[in-house]
Amino acid sequence: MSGAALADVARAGAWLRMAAVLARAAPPEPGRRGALALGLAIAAALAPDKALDAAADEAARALAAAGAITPDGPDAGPAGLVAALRPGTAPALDAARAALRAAARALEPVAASGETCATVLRGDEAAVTTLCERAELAGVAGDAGWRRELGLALTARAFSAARAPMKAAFAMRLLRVVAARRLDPAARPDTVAFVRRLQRVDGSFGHLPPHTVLGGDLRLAFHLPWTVAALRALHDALAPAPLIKIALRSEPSMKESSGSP
Amino acid sequence: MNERARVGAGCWSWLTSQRDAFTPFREDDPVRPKRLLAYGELAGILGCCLRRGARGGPVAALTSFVDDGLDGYDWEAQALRGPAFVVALLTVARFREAAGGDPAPLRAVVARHLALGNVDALELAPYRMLELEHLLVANGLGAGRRSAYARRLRDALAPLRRSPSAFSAHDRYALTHLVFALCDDGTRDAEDVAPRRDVAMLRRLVALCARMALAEGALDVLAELVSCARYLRLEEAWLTDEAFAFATGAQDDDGSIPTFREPPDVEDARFFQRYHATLMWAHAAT
Repeated sequence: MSGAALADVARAGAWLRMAAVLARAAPPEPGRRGALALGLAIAAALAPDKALDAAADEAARALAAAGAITPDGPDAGPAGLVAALRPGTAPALDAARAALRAAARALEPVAASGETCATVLRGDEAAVTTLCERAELAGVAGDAGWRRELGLALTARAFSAARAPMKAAFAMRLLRVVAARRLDPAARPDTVAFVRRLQRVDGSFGHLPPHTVLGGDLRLAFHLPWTVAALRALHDALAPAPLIKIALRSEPSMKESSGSP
Repeated sequence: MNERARVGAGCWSWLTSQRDAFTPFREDDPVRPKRLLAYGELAGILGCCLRRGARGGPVAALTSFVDDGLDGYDWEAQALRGPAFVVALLTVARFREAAGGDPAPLRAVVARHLALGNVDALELAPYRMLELEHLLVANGLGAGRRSAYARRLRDALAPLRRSPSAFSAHDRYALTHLVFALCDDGTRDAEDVAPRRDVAMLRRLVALCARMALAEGALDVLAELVSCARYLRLEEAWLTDEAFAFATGAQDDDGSIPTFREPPDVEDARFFQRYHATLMWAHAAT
C-alpha cells in the first residue's frame, strides 16, 4: 500500500510543480503562497526528487520573502511547518515556527473521554474543528483506551462528513489529527485509502460540482488547499514522525528562550 | 427509568399496538408483500428475544399473536411462488421452535426445496446466502453443508475487506446481518464459527460504522449496530448510552421511531415508515 500511496504523492507533487509555474506568472496571495510552499515541502519529504526539491526550496524562499507570516495564531502554521521541512530556508520561516510553538504552549491538551467523543460525533463542525486544532497543537491527554476511542470517533465523523458534498477537506482535517497524535494505529490504512480515493487523474485533489468548468485560476484557488490538506493527512499517516511533531521539536538555535517571536 | 428502558418500553408498546398492521393474511391487501416482510421480521426478532431468555410482557403478547397467525397461512404455497422465500420460512420455523411450537411442517417444506436443488440455485447477495446457510444449520438442515458454510462466510466477508469510508448504506446492513448470523443473534461467540482475525476485523467495522451512524443520525442501522456491538462484546458503555439518548430524542410520543424508508403515498405509510427502526430499537433495548 505504501508504495502505491507514495506514487500518488509523487503525482500530487508534479501537479504542485505545475501550480508553482502558474504562480510565477501571477503571484498568488499570501495564503495560497503558504499552501503551495507547504504542499511542495511535504511532497518533497515523502517522495524525494531533484526537481521537487528545487521547487520546494524556491517556494519556501518565496514565502519567506513575501512576508506572509504573522507573529501569532494559525497563520504562522503553514510557514512554521515549511520551516520544519525545509530547514535553513529563511529566518522569517524559523520565526513562524517559533510562533507555532508558542501557540501550542498556550493551549491545553484535549482530554480524551466519553464526553469528548460524543462532541466529536454529534457536535457542530466549528466545535469539532476547534477541538482538532487544540488536539493537533497541544496534544491529547488520556490513557491508551480513551485515546483509541477518540481516534475511532474522529475517524467515524470524518467518514460520515465525507458523504456530504464539499466536506472532504473537513474529513481530512479530522483524520490528520488521528494520524498526527497517533490516536488509533489501526486507522492508518483507512486514512490512506480514504485520501487516495479522492485524488484526481492530474494528481490534484478536490471536486467542485461537475458542471463547473475548470480554469487555471480555479486550480490555485480551489484545488490547491485540498491538495495540501490531502498531502498533510498522507504525510502524518505515512511518515515516521507527524508534521506537527517535527515542527514543534526544539532546535539548538531556538530554545525555549526564543519561544515567543 | 433510564433511556434504554424508556426506548424499549416505548417501542414494544407501539409494536403491540400495531398488531393489525403486521397481519399479512388479507388477500386483497395492496401492500401484502411488504406486510409479509414486516411479519417475518417481527417473527425473527421475537425469536431472538425468546432464545436469549426475554419472554415476558410485550414479547409474550406479540409471540402469541405471531404464533396464532402461522397456522392460518399456506407457507408452502408462498415458497412455491418464489424459492427465495425459504429464508423467511426458516426464520419463521426458528421462531416457532423458540415459541415452544412444532417447526417440523415448515422445515419439511424447506427440505423439499433443498432436495430439488432450489436452495443452492438461489442468487442472493453474499451476506444473504450466509444467512440462509446459517438458518439451515440452525434448523437442523445443514448436514453435509460445512464446506458451503465456509464458502458463504468467505464470500460474505470479501466485500467488507476495505475501508468503511467507501461503504454504502447497503454495506452497513450487510455487516449487521453478517454479525447477527455469526453470533446466532447473540446466543454464541462469533469466534465459534469464524476465524479470530476475521472477527477482529468485524469488531473494528462495527465500532466505526456505529459511530458513523450516530454522527449521521442514521437511526435504523444504528439500532442494528448497537445490537452487533453487544453480540461482539465490544463493551462501549458511553457509545451505547449516547445511542439510546439519541434514540430517545427521536422517539415519538406513541413510542415509535422513524425509519423513513417508505414513500408517503403507500397504504399504511406511517406504519411502514416506522416499524423497522422501532422493531430494531426494541430488540437493541431487550
